[in-house]
Amino acid sequence: MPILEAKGVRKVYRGDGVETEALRGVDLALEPGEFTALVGPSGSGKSTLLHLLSGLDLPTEGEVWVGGVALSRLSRSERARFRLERIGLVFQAYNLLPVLTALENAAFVLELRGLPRPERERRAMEALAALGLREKAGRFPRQLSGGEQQRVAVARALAAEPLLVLADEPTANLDSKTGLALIERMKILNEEKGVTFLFSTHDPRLLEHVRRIVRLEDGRIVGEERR
Amino acid sequence: MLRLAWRNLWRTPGRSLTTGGVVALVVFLSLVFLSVYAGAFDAFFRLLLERTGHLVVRVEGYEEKEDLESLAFAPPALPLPSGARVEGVVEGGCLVLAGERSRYAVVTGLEPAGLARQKNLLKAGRLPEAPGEALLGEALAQALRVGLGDEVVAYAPGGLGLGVYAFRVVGLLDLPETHLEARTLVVPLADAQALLAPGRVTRLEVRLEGLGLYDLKPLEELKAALKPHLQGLVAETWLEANPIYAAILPLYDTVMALYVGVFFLLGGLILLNALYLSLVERVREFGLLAALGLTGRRVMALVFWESLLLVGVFALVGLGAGLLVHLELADGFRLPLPQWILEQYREFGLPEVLYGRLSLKEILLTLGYAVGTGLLAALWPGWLASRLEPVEAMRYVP
Repeated sequence: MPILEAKGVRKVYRGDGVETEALRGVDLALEPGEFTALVGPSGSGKSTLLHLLSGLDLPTEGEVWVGGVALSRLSRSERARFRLERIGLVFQAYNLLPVLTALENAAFVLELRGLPRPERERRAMEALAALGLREKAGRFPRQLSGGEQQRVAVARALAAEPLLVLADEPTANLDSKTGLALIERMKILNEEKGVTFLFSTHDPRLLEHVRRIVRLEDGRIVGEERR
Repeated sequence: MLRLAWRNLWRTPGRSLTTGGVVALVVFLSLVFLSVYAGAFDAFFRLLLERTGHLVVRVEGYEEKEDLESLAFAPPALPLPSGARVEGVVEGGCLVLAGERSRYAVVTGLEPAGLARQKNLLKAGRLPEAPGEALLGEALAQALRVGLGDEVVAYAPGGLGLGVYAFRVVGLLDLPETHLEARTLVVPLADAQALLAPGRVTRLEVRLEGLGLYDLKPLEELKAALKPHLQGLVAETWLEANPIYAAILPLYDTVMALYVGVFFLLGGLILLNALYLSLVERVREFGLLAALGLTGRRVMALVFWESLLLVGVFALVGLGAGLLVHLELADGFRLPLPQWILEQYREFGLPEVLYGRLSLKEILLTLGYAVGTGLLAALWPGWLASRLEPVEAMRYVP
């Protein structure tokens, strides 16, 4: 059974009397433990698709299932709780909370879930350590480099042990060396812990590390490659 | 949420201090303003009360009577509560003569306690200590061309008394109203009675101990208790005895309430603006929280807790500072205004030295207002953040 499934997903943005069709009927399914890249040029609809798959936004048509749950049938609050429990998100712009240390950021989702402090800090520290950030756990985002901040964002997603991690161009703001290192770390976690990953990228150097590539153009899936 | 809100505030000291500083300043200024306002209000009426006593006893229908024989009466024995003091006063018209000059004046005979209260108005000389000594309004003294140590004669023929009495000027009075100062002759009660009406007074002033300035209920009760003992006389509270001031009391209250209202409105708008801006710039952050799994209700709760903590803590800081300044004001202060404005104040009967007053009600009103405004300011950004889809909130540009 797929862990994630999108069927006939369309997304139309309306603003100032203009309609923009960002997705034109996308069908996609991910099995548990997959490590998949979503590729395509800017404006192809990658971010929009990830937003819909994570329940941050709702499709104009079609349906998205995550772990067998149809997201459009959930209320806004239910979708928020679903993300909290099931989905790890990594954003292109890191999106760390500036008032929290790396450890607190990594533990934040667990804090929202109401886990006791020792438990959440243990799990957050494990995630940070797995991404090579044990020594920087007490630093605030402003005291970290871009690559380190992105790794903290990944640690936040992983510490929560979600069903799947959706990452929107996680390496876009990193140099190629740091970007590759991050992808390698994510791949290790995928292989060792079986976490399902779907991330968007337009960086061809990262694609040799993935087992499946989904190509998106003009809001449609135009090709797929499995390795 | 409370812990999260506190951490957000604690770890952004710049933002918290800037916004909280506005809260503290508004609370501080409101308390100082209210203290000064109440001080000015009290001063005005305390002066009035000091002039008339708590209760005034006069001849029934005195408003329509003009001649001294109709207005003067022998003081009856009154059953008064312990600690109460009764002072007799005689007032009547006379001609004051000094050499070849003369002026019409009102001679007022006071008991020693009444004379002692004139000390604040004394411009030169001293208070009368013996029979035949008098205080003269400074303007009257100038008109008569007399000074300290000079002799004047009060001439009031056709009455019950001697009709003529010589006084030595021992003090000059500076009254707020110049036209009154030009007609003021204050003498010991016995001298005035000898001149105008032996053994009689034109009013009795009853002064009570331990009564609040605006505590009118015990006065009404005492007035009712005295009524059977006042044959042909009438007792009035100090406000009834000053109908003109009593009539302007509601107006004075309304005008000052308007000042307070405008002040609170301005303070509230500044507070609202500061809190609103500090929250609306964080809608993107709230969007991130929603994306990570915080429900709209929890986002709103976070915003409210933050506002409540921020306003609460800094309102207490403002309260502390305001109370410290109020304690100074309560010991007496002079309005920091130019002399010519102070003169105008005096014309309205306000003393230069005021005493600040704050009641618990005003403190709670100010704190409640600050907290209410703070929560109101949190309402829109909190609601906005809770209603937006996380994607929209994260793209939000204020």
